[in-house]
Amino acid sequence: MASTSSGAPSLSELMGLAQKGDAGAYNQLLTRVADMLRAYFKRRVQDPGTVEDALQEALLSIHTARHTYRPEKRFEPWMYAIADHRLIDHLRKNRRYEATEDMDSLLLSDDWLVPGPDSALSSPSLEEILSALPQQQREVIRLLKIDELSVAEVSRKLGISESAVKVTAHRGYQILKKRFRGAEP
Amino acid sequence: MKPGTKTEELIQNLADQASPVRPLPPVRVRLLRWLGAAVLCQAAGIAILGLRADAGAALLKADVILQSAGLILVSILSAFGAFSLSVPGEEKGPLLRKVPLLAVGAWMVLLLALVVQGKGIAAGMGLFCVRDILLLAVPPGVLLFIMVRAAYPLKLGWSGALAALSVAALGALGTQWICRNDSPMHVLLWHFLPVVFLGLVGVVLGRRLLRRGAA
Repeated sequence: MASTSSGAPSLSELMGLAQKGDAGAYNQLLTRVADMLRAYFKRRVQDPGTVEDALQEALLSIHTARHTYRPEKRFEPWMYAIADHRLIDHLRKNRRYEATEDMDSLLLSDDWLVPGPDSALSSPSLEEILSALPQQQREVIRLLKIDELSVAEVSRKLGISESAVKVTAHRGYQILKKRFRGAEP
Repeated sequence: MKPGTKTEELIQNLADQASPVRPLPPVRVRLLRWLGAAVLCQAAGIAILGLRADAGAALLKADVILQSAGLILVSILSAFGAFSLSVPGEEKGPLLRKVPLLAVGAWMVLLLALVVQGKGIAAGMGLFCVRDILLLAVPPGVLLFIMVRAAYPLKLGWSGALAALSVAALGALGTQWICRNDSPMHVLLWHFLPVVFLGLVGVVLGRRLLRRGAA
């Protein structure tokens, strides 16, 4: 692969040197790759934090996969194949993580127990609160909030996955929030 | 912290870890190396399990030869697909993944056509055939998964499916020269279906076994 018109080594040349253990060439390669991929990701993702996170994952993958690059081939298709995959992977993981985070913060907080100003009940008992729920949701929330078991313990006790515990609890909290904060059920 | 500072630190760390690496051989070289080992495994497996007594007569049957040729094609195309998918950017288009499936489909069509023509609708028992397919598929399968994982597969499910399909076809090929029952219904139920099933299992195995960490 030829050098660029400005005389700077091409990405293929730099990668060839990096594969031989040239740290300077590798640093130069990764810096140029980072600039290219940052611009590439910014065209697809708005959040700068997500761009940097996905970029770092892509760089790590490029590092792990560097033995698969053949010097006689063009560097860019190899690089973008890894980058695309890492970006999609990162976005998928983040969607699952954000959903889980919302449920975790609900599990830890008790503010959903406080009735809103328009609530028909001035100070509902926990039993009154829980009686509004279907049986499995009632059971899960009772174990989490009254028995103060962890998600893992509830999962083992009921024989359901931890995700199922979180999803069930989350649905229960949504019903209770609507019912006891004066919103429509 | 300035945007990009952590990235710069990461770049410096990675550059500090820049030990020499030997580039993997081209896909066709890796394929040939694996095929060589796989053929040896098959030959040994058939020798142990026992070549069918009527092998000479079977060589003269057109449908047997046609199916053997088809299975060789499925195995090679699938393995080529798995090796190609193991290198980022090597796959030029979805055809690489679809062609082996078309070949499997052609095998099914051939068997159904023979069944419809009434050329053998007795299925017979075939659990030993399933066993033989597995026994013949596992050794080259383990090697193929190791070789694919040694690269950097991105499409894990497809890589696993193609690798499993390749060795399953190889197992079916070897079994064809062990099992004397060439009835198309028997082959459909006890050779073809296990190959398809193993291909699907390969999707799961690929997702579990072929994942490489980011670093």
